[in-house]
Amino acid sequence: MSVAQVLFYGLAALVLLGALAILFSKNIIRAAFLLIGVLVGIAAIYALSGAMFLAVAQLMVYVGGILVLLIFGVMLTHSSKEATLRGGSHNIWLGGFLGISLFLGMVYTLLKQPFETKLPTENIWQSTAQMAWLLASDYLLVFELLGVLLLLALVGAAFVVRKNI
Amino acid sequence: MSTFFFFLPFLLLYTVWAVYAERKVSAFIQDRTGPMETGKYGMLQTVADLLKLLMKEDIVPTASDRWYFKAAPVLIFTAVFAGFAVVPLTLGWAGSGTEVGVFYLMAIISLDVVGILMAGWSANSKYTLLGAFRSVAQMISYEVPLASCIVCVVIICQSLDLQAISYQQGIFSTSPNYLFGIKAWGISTNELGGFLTWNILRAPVLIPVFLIFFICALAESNRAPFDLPEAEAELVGGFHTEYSGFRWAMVMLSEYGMMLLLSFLMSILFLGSWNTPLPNIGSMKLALWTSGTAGSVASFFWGAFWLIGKSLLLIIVMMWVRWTYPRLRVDQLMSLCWKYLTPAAILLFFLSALWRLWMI
Repeated sequence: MSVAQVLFYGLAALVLLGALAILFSKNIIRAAFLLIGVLVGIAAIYALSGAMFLAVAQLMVYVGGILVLLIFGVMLTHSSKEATLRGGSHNIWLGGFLGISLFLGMVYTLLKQPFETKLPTENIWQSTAQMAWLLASDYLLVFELLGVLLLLALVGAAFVVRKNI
Repeated sequence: MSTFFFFLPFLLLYTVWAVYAERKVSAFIQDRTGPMETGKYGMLQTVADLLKLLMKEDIVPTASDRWYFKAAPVLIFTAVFAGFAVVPLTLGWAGSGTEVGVFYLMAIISLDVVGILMAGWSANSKYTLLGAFRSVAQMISYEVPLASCIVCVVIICQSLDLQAISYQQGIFSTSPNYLFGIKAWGISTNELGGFLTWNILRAPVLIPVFLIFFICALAESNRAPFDLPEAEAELVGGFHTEYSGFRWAMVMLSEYGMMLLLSFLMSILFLGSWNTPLPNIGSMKLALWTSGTAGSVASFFWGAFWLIGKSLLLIIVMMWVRWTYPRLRVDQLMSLCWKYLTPAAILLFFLSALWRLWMI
């Protein structure tokens, strides 16, 4: 196995273990902190594949934005002792059925997918400029619409929070 | 790898001396002598303090979340230290050399925020939790103008790569540089080099950007006048109240590391990175003499000397500011960020874009 493969499997294991730990954790804030392992692991896999910009964007948006927001939300609504999730299992059969069928569907789709093992060897470390060029030309409309959507969400959130404007 | 072998020992040595310098600077500003007893002029004071810290018991509060409490300082320090991976030190040493260097450094600050939240929450004490809240709220808020300032520089330089940004600001630049960035005058500064080709003079629109960046850097590293998270009178010690011994030392180390990282970033983005401040004047080829030829050992030492020198100078200015200005209130802090710095940074963002379109 090459170094890249060893790194890949190590990171994949980190992501999987983190996800499982979140699943079985009873304390919601601990679960939120365990999310770091998952998010950083995925970012590292992106970086390993040469998608540097995507990797850093993953860190920036998920760790810097969403994770901190999540932790803040939980901390402001619970005290650290009360922040445990209610135990017990309900709807085992329905949940199990849905989970297994979703998993099988995903495996089926993955197996049907013709994966190209060929990697772009040229300019793999200069992908940022190419990506920026595409964003500002072919995908400009989508990019701008997403910007407008985010702005609307921001204004909407401010409107909901402020009672009298 | 080079980060590990150079920046880790450098960071440790720097912190020891920075703590000493901080005490001396504060003492001189307050008309005292500062530490005088340990070693000549008290120079061994920090070493003695450090030894004491290493000997101390590692106390973990009973009601705390044990593993998270222990892991938090490691996470904070790892985040800050990872930032040094992309710092280019000299002409031939680009660190990790990734093309998204600046963007990566912004993400590092976010990781630091998670570590601080973890430290504050896991200690299970009111002081640490409130300290962490304040600290994080402040860091996230000031990240907005900070990021806008970085974007201004990126617009002017057209690159996210810290080494590419460094190359543009000196005699090794391949693109034309004009005096104060005004092409119409036609005074090329490519041959002159020195401080005339630094980003703040290459595009003078970046001078106010630099000021905003400096203010935000103070807030990001939780230093006075923005040290509310550690307001002693209100919160004992902020998010690291419950830490003792080695773990406390690690928190302090990452705090000083953050200062150093932001100073490096400031020197690279605005103050010419590893380029010499001395220009070529006529037959006095000061810039050439103090840069060395590309690839030689001399260029290596000169580059490191200038970059580290500029960063340490900025750190002294940070200390000077700390002991000169009183602490802000929370509402003042937030209004300064959202009502003044952010709009100013956005305005400068547009001005930089116009500058790039019309002047270069």
